[in-house]
Amino acid sequence: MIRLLFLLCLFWAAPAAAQVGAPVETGHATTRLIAARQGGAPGETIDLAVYQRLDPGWHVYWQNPGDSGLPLSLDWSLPDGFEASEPLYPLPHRLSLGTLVNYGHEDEAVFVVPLSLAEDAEPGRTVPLSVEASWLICSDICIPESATLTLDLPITDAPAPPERRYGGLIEEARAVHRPAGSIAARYADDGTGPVLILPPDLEAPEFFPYEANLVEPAGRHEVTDGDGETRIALDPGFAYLDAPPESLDGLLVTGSDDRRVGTPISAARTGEALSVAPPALTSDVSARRGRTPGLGAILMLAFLGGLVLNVMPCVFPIVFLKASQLARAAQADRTALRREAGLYTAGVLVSFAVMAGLLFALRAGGAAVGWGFHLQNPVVIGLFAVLIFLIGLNLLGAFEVGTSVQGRGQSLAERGGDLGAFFTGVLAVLVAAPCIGPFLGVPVGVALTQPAALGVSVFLAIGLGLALPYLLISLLPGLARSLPRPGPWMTTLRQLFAFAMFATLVWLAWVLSVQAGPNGVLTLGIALVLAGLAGWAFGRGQAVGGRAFRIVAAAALLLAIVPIVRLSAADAAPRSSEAGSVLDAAPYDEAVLSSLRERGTPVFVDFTAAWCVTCQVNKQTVLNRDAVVAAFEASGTRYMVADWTVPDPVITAALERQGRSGVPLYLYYAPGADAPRILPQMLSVNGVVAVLEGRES
Amino acid sequence: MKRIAATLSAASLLAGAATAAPRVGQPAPDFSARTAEGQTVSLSDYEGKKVVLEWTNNECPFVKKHYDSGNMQALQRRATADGTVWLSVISSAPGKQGHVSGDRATELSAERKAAPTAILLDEDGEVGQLYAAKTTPHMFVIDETGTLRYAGAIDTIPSADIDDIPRAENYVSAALASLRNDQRVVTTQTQPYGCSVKY
Repeated sequence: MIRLLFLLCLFWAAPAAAQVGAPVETGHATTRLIAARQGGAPGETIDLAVYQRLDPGWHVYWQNPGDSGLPLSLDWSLPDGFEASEPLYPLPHRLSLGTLVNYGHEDEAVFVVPLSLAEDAEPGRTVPLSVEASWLICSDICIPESATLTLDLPITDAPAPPERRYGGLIEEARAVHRPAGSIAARYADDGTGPVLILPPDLEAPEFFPYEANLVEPAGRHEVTDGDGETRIALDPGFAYLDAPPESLDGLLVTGSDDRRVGTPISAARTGEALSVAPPALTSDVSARRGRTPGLGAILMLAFLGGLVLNVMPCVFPIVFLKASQLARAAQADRTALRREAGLYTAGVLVSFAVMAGLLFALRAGGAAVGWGFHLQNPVVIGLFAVLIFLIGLNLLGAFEVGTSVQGRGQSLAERGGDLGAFFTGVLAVLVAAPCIGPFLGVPVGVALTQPAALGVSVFLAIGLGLALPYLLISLLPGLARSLPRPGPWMTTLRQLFAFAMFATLVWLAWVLSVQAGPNGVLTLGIALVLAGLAGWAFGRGQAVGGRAFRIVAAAALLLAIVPIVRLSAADAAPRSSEAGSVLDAAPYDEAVLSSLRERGTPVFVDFTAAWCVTCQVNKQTVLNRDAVVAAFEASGTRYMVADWTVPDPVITAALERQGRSGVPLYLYYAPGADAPRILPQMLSVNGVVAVLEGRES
Repeated sequence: MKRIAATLSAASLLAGAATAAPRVGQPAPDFSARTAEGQTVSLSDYEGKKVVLEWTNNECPFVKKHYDSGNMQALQRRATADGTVWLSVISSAPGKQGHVSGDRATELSAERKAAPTAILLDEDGEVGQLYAAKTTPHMFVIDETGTLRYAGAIDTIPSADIDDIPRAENYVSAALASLRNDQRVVTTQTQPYGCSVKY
């Protein structure tokens, strides 16, 4: 204690100038190096600062200087073990120079630099700190200035008291910075540029992006407050136009005069549609009608769309599976049939609700995802493939599901029926629903812009539509009676359906090859062999009993699944799903698209994905046909492919501008037309040729 | 709060017109301007030739960096030697730094041994606004078809220090070399550095 007092006395006695470097006068600024405290203890971090007083009318620059200018540059010379961090800049101001805007500082600027002291610094000594500082200082003209700034820092035993003359300045400079993340922020594009979406009631908010070229400094900075949020609309810089960033990071300054504070924000990109999009970009059906269809109409469309989904190519694998289950159930009484259909419906509805909920949660978190996002993930595709393969083996009779080992002679329908029916419903949604069929484009697009509860009800309406045929069969006695009588043909049919599963497997393997490359397919192949072993062992266990078979089955299944979970899109061969196209395909590029449109070249944009069966059917049966290819050539129409097989925020945003949230989507830009024409989800050769030849407006 | 928002939007509306910068890959906007010799030239006069636009202000330290070192003159000579048209544009308004008469502009070129094809006197800032020129220097490279192929800084090191020139990579000569060899321009747009254009 006495020693501490003694030390304190020593410091009071020490000349105060020791912690304040000599001022250096350059043409238009006086600059010095200062410290927040009278000294520093070994291993501790203390704040230094470059402190500038500027001539009236002159300014220096923030870390992103805006349209012109340069930030402060510091080149430190420090003793061994000492380290200076990047400077914390003062809060910037928007400085207008004619038509340009800079981000900078006037009058006085304190650049705080945290300094960590060496562990082995010797208390009682004084260490010399030195920095070569250079900066650009401008009024209407600009002058580069530089200075060597020095400071002698006493090393102390314990943390030293604040420096009396300038310590307060550093404290103030720090106090105006609020912790990062204390203001929630996201951004969306309104068709002109990024719009920050912030909490309501901010006082005089100003946004300063950390990175140059994302935002045009002299562009719009329109602040609107209302509807429980504050928006700041900005103009895009060239880097933004090239590729909108996943998150727009910068400093949000709020308050006025000497009550300004700065909060670092990280605004994640969202795909939400903003109401102020320019008319050229909103061309979906609802916009053309001049208003969004009512909720009733949307729910009706969703229900109809769900019903029609049953005959879409997407759902083929499930139709076969469902048919085989119905065939089994038909052998039993009507109660069992009703139970079967009810459980299937429950499976469909539960998984629609879960998927929609997940989708809304992800979007609320700022992820740019659309309907069917899970199929963009190779892990999901791999797990589906294993599952479909096991179902195929099950149909072939390699093993039974839900049957006790002994087999107590239950009816076929009861055996494993409950679980099977429910999961067929789940599978139907997972595999089939992401393909957006007729009638569904508008409801799904609208659902995603609605509050979550309304959105989920739209998806539930689709689910009811999807399950309707099976519900009808079970509820209407006439229909159920018309099902064929059971017999040995049922087993034959069931085994034949296994090959539909294997066909589905081939498709999934192809999707995976696009998403994860040859190594992904290899991983899947090995997984299938192991899964096959598991299925066989499980079946043997059922036939002859014995724990060993079950253990082998469980182990093999685990070994099959683990490598799949580690699949990644990293090995993907880019855009290789275009390979199957006869037409000369250009990848989707909005800059190219707009220049083609300016030149009056007609453009056909194909929003597709390898996992979208409807898309592939359209490609094979319509787009690759000679008549269509000839019409493309004759009309000089460019064919652009927006491949959504793996996540792509640009394509997600483009889909959303058309009020859609999934593929397929076909757009035709006629020469000179303001807005694209949206073609139906199921293409026809005659329809496409008519559009290309301009016979149909 | 409302008032500040309104002021900001009003300011941005005024500025908005000037910030619709031409995009790389798009046709470079055509313009007509008076040269230091008193002729009127248009960008369209040079169709079929590569054109470099250089925004300049002889008193700006960043311009001095590239002229005092001879860097800009060497670039001009290399470019014009293979038929590229080099236009130095002065957008300083009367009374502002860098504003010069036609005679003085010609004299400056002789003193500094500069070799542009022509110097454009853009004292009303029309060409500058058309290209959203922000700094001196701010460089633009246009190909034979009139398409803008590069816009931005002259080189990779934003400073006013002559010693940085040998260490920096020059974006303009890289773009011209790519065009000469029928290759894609690698870096197409960068943040320009220098003094603000004195509109």
